[in-house]
Amino acid sequence: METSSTNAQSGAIGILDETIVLEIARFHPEKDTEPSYDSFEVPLRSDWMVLDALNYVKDHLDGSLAYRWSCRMGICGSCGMMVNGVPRLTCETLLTSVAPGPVRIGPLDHFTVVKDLVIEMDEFMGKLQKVRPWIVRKDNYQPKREFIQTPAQLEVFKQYSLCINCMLCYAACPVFGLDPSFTGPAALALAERYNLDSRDQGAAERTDILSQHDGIWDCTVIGECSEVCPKHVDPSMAIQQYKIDATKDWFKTWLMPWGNK
Amino acid sequence: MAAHARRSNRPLGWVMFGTGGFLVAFFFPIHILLTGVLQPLGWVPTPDQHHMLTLLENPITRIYLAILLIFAFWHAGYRLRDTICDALGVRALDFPIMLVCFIGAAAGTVATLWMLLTVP
Amino acid sequence: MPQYKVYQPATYRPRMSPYWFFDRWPYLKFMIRETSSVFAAYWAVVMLAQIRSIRHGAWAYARFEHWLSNPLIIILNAVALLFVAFHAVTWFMLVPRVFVRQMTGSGAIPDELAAAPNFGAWIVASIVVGLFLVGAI
Ligand code: SF4
Ligand code: FES
Repeated sequence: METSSTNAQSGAIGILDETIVLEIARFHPEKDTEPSYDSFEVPLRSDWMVLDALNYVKDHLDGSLAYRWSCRMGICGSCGMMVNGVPRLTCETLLTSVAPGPVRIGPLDHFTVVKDLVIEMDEFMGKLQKVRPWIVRKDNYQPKREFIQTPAQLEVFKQYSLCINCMLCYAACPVFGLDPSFTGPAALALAERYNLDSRDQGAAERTDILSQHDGIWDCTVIGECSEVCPKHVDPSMAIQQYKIDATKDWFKTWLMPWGNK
Repeated sequence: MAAHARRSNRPLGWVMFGTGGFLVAFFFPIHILLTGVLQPLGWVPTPDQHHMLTLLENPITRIYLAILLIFAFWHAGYRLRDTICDALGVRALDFPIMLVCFIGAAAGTVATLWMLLTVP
Repeated sequence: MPQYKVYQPATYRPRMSPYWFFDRWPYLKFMIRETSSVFAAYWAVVMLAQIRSIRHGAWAYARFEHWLSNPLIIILNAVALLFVAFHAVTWFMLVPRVFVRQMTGSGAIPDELAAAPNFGAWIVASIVVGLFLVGAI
């Protein structure tokens, strides 16, 4: 199917009459104890993303290749992989941008590998839950209509709310690699997103959890999370801001122990 | 309240680290450049001991040096603790590493104060 | 830990290489920045030694200067200078941004603009301290 359409378009825009070699990490849970790399030669097309090349491999060369994807437009966050050692959304990475190859494609760093390029996500989901990513109200207030929020109030946290849970930032974070219990960039940015939300009253509760072990203080500002984030969430900035908030709180508690409760 | 009590005391160290970071960034390069490199090479004039002592006897100089050095020690101690953990991949040993680094910073603080308070 | 295990006979958990910071330039840059703390501590100790020698009279100060003129020490100091200067640049690029964000609630001010006052202050501070150190004041 793919071949005939390729033939039909021969000479059309996108066809480069060249090939590129992909070195793809393979891990078969029933046979292997650790991953190895398989090489595949695929057409190099200027209109292809790395994900298209993977689809070509699966359709034509080896149907047993396992990987995740869905939207092909950088919004579902499921196609994150290591491309030449850097975490990328494969549906947003042009194949020509990594030419001439060979291109190394692996599962996201630091996570548990289930098969080939598929990683275990429960770990990440647990971290998201831990930061209480919902609007917390102290007063058990049951609104009769929406909470009013001005555009200016939205602007304060909007950037931190754009995360698509692609986990690229975790794969870029050596602290998470060294210490898997670290809450990590996306989850901490999400916490700060709710802390800054004018409707939320849960900041103290969250800080109780996140100013402990494995929280904001484990971050040593390597900053790669912000570099690789496809949505420019800037989790590193969120964490540093969170540190300032927690520090203000800490001094308030020590200088005026009576004022805090 | 219990959770509140378990909050990290990092903020104290972090403020020392941050203040020290600024002071080191602003003042250390010029000190190292002149005292450590250019003056020993003889490329810029070096004042004699008498001149330096007059400078040191001025309380403002001593306050400047005390603030600069004490915060520098805590800056370095705080950062070194995390660096050792990251570089060697030994976050599990954070506590003893922290103790060594902070005892070092405390020793630097005591030495600085003693050195500057007892200027003849 | 995976909660779902039915069709997962085995999984693979990668381990970080002990030399992970050599893997990519951004990580190495991070490590260089962090290592500046060693040189900051070293220089703080040198300054203590300097203060001590000044207090102890002309002879002690001469000995301190003699120690500083050792070529190996000069090289060490030059290296320390590079590391600490790198710390300064990274610091001025990052920290003002965080403060601006904290105060304005958005990243409205461009990074370069947020960092600029620090570089200005750095030059002024260096000139003032420098004049004292060469005995011009
Ligand atoms: S913060 Fe960015 S890199 Fe991290 S999961 Fe969200 S979108 Fe992906
Ligand atoms: S396939 Fe959805 S983000 Fe790439």
